Amino acid sequence: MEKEKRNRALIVMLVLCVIFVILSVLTAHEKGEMGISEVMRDAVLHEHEKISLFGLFDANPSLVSAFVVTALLLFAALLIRVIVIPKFSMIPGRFQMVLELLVGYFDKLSKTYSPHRNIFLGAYTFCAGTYICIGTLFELLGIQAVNTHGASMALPAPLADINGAVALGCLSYLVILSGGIASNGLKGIGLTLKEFSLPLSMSFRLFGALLSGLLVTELVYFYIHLSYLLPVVVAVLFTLIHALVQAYVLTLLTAMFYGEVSEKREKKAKKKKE
Amino acid sequence: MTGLPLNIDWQQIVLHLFNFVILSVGLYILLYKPVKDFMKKRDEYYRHMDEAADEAGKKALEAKAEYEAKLLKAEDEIAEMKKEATQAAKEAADITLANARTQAEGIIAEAKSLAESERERILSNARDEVVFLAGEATAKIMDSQKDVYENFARSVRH
Repeated sequence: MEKEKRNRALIVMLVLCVIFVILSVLTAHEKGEMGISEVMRDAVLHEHEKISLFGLFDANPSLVSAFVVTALLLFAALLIRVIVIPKFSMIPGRFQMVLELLVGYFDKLSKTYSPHRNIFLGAYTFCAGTYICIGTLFELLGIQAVNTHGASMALPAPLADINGAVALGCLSYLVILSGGIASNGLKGIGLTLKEFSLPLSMSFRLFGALLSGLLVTELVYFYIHLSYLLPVVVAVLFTLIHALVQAYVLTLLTAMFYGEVSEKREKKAKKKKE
Repeated sequence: MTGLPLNIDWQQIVLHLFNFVILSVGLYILLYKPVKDFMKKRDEYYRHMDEAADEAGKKALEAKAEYEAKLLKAEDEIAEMKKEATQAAKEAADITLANARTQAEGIIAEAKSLAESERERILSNARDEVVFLAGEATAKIMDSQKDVYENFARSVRH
């Protein structure tokens, strides 16, 4: 009896799959639409697909994503602050443990790599790590927006845009510079400027890493046939790994360089002339 | 301002920065600081508990040492008291023994004196009796001798 039920369910699922395959082939890209090379080029440069920002100017979709992510994060933080944090107990529950784990991780990271000056660094790495991680996972939601051509498009990760990556990379460099100045004054500026390639490397590392994920996903799922060969879970796992790795890498690098330049340098004793 | 490679747009970079700064300030005020403050408060709470436990342990050790010292002192005191009691008992026993000895000597002396006086009395009585008996005997002898003498005198006269 149970075997019959199982067979029946399998047949129903198979029929549904065949129907979806036929429908997906029928609704596939028409020849007039963008090809893969154009899609990938636009994913990098955002030349065609732009979104009007309150009618003021046409912005890259990632900027809109950045605003949406910020709004979502701030709303979630407000809810947590109002509802969850006042109920914190000495023996933490699951959610409290997750929050404490997050805050504790970034606090420990900053204390490990910059033991002499770490209060601001801890807060910065926490915010940057959260932004990168949640911002990257945001693309999984596939929130739709209307571009300037009137077509709908899924909002990408905020840092999959070179402008977002440059902003975060340069800001991290400025934070490192501020640590150097606060600890060593003018000498700190010198120490930080020595690493002049840091903003470039940080920006492009972040951009490259996040963009590569986007491009691979675009490439794989652009062709309808590959959508059946590779399950969706591959893209999800790929994005998850990106989110965690990039958040870890940027915060770790920032903490390391911050600790290095903010370390107190003792003045060398002048050699006495004999 | 466009025309830069890779479609870099300064305006959008600034907007990204503005967005991130707002997010950072919000996250710091709403999430990072309260959670960190709570963790710090809890650390303080457990540190105080730990310190209190250490202090209590230290006090307990001190009390234990104090009690042990007191116990040792009490044992010494008990030994001393025992020694004193033994000494006192010995002294009391000696006094009692001395008294008993004195009393016994008195009794013996009294007994001796009584015995002596009794002896004296008995001897005196015996002497009197001996004298009496001797007198009696002499009288008797004299009576018996009277016949002898008379016989002798008669014989002589004859």
